[in-house]
Amino acid sequence: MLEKLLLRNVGVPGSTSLAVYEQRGGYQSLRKALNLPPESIAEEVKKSGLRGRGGAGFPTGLKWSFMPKDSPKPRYLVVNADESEPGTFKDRLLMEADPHLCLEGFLISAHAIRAKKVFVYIRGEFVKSYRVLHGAIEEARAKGYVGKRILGTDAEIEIILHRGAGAYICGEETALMESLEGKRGYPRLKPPFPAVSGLYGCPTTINNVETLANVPFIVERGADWYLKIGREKNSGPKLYCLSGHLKKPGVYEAPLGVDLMTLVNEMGGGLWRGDRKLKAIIPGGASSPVLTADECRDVPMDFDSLAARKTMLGSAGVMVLDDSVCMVRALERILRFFAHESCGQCTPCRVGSSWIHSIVKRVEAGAGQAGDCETLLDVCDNMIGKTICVFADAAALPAMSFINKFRGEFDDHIRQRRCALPEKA
Amino acid sequence: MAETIRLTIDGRVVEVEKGISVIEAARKAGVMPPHYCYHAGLSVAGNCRMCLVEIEKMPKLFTSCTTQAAEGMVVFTGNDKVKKGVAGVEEFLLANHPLDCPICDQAGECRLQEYSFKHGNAGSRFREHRMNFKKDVEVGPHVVLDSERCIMCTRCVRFSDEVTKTGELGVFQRGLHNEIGIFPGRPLDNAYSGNVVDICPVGALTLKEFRFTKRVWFIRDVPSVCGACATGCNVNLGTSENRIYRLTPRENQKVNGWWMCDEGRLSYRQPMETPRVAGPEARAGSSVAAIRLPDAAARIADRLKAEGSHRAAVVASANLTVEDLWLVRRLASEAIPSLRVVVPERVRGEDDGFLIRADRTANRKGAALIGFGIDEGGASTRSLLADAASGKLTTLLVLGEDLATLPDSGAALEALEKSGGLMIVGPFAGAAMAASAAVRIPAAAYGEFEGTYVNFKGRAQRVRRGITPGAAALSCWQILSLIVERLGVKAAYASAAEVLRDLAASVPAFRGVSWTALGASGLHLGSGAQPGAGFIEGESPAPRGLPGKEGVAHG
Repeated sequence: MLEKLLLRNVGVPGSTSLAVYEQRGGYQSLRKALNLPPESIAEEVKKSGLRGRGGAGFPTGLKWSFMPKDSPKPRYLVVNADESEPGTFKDRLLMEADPHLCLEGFLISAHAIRAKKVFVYIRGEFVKSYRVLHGAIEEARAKGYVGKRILGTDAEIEIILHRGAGAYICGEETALMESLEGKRGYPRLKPPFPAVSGLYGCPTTINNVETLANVPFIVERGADWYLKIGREKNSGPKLYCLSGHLKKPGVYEAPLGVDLMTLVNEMGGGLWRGDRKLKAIIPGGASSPVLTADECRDVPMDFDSLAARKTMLGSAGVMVLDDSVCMVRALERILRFFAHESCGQCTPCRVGSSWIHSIVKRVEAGAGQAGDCETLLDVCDNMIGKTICVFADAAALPAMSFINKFRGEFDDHIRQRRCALPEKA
Repeated sequence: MAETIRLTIDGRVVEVEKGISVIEAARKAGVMPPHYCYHAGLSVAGNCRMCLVEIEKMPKLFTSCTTQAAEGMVVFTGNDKVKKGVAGVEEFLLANHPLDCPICDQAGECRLQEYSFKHGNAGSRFREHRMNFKKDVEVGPHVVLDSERCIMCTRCVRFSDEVTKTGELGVFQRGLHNEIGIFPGRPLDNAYSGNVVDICPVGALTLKEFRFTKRVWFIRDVPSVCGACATGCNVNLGTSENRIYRLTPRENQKVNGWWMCDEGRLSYRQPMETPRVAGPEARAGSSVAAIRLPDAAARIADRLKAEGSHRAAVVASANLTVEDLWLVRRLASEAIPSLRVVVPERVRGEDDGFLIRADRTANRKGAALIGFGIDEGGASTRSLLADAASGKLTTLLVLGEDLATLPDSGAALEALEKSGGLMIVGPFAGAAMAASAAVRIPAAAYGEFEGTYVNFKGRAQRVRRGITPGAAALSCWQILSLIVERLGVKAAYASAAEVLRDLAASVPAFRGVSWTALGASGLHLGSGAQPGAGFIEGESPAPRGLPGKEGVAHG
């Protein structure tokens, strides 16, 4: 059994308390980091190959290096804790069960980019995460880990928690900043990128919770050690969110690049019922294109391997679908989400997301018409790559994959005016 | 000279100023991409996604409004990939559009119609339910919103955020339910609200005063300038069948940018809403009778001559054109030398730092250049009225002014009525003054005459005739020329242009000025009379908006 890192404290009694966290070696990395020049930490993170766990997999150290060296403006670290991708619940677990690991990661990272303020934008529905994190911040402040003169050094870092109001788009980094500034959650035009003009127009780095939770380990044990976990260019431990038709859904830690079916069968316990067969897996949250059962063999679950298979690791929300699932209905459910969550700023996404949902809904309800699939695919094509942020792609790419890979089911719905699958529980 | 770069757009190499966007570069190349949200006077939103172009070596299409032009860039605005992208966006915009063009005021000048014609598909693939919104929502005293027609370009929101900085408008709801709106109890009620109607590329925002009055394709736009204050905003008089239906701003970066105020926008209504006299009238005892124009002019001339410069005077409006005022000049120096002329000041409120001037006259500067300095503070006006009241003045020729609205004019009017020396030339006169007049000759009102105004900055601009006055009223200068000729001075002009020529030859400030030289955007007096000359020293560009704190948050 591999050593657990990110989940090492999860399940330990009192894991949210500072005392337990310290007992288990917590805040030693912060202590070490505060005595290192910030640039050397950033350099170590760069060397470790850590890539963003929010979905895009952008190299974290490289992102940090975009922060201007000589700006007179304040510098900010924003933590994206607006975990909203359907099928994703890893950051929530980290915040609820090991808030001090999160905080330690935030503090070291803020030190590394010379930010004195950390804004944590936390999904509004995550009430428990908010409460636990809030309690942890107060505890850490009382102990001198947060605030002025941290651990007796000159370091000064304040952490501000901000709860979102229930919009998926506010997980997009620039919409998040707009929302944080009290404005409508509309993604911004880029450039300028956040490192140049981010929160309140100041140099800003924005990272995902899980990404920053990796940082204390890199500081503690070094980049060379970290590089040994996972695969080339996809290093480190990763949290996988298993859901769907499994015996043991949940959050599992494994090195990046773990085999998909190993995840499903060994960690997730396999399909929930012996009489069901695997039909498809959505590997990285609702916005990742679906894999058919055949395509699920020999899939290393990392950024590059999934990209090579024309899908993505995304937020590692692995959704397992058995053969009782109607793919038309599943797509309808996914698109209902995207139609509801499009912010409406750009024309193709505002109209397209709803349009493709309406068509699929109609097909699912038995009112499909000849040509609907062709229209769907073409409308998706008109959405992809034509908007300010990637939301439109996130709606259109999975839709295209469902239609292209399960075309027969769509055609059957249109021809027979109903679902061809037998009713199943 | 600013630094320039060279890029290729549709095979043509263009040299443009460094730092401008691809859409502006394309405009210079003569291939402006279709666009809804982009407006040169507002911040770049990049939300309509219509101005897609392909840039060589880039996998995706780019919106040209959000992309900076770069040295060596190769841009395609109309290849197959771009065409499909643009047609796709147009299809999205039409999917939920009500297509109520037959009853839409924007029809005929609607970007949706234009781009649909140029870039759209013939058929529709949209088989789903359309979005429905309330169709006539009054968002302010002048503006009505129809959200079903709205394409969410947010030009109006950005206008109220960035130009007026009043922030009344915002985007509400989310996604397909997005809707432009106002905040409870905070209507779109600012001095420039009508501009949102002009910049709305579709029929979502309409002007209450214009909607349902005329199909726009019947409207002929006559380029003119506004006469409601000293700024002289460039406008189009929207005319049809001898009626003005609307005033809209005409771009002039040296005067008003793209904008105008609501007061100016609605100023065309005064001539329609004020009672007009059919023709010259004269009072005999207690009754008023119509008389012939030559007789009326003769009576005015004879009375002025009989009373002479000691007992007669002229009150002239600073809203008269320089052509009118040149005839006043000739009357007061050649026909009746030393005739007293007073140009009353008309101020209200304060300069707002944008387009509205406290000086509500259109031609104060022009009057001054012709030698009639405005009566700042009103001392001359007060002494003139006092002289009239005391009987020292027995004769007053009033040109385009309303004495009754000047302070303490009651006694003067009473005395002048008794002496039978009040003579009025103007488009309309207040009832109080008209009742006291011995002779009255109606003149053409704003929109009915040709001429020249000089704005507060010293820019001479043409004010144009859009319609012919109903009662065949002449321009003020024409009536004055009859009076001046009757007094034995040769003053027959065939047109206002000829008057201007005479003026230009006589007054140094106007040297070289002619209608040809003024062109469409006017001429700064002192710029060497070069049409289209760049900014001259000391001439400031049009302000970008009301002063105030930058960056009001989007609602």
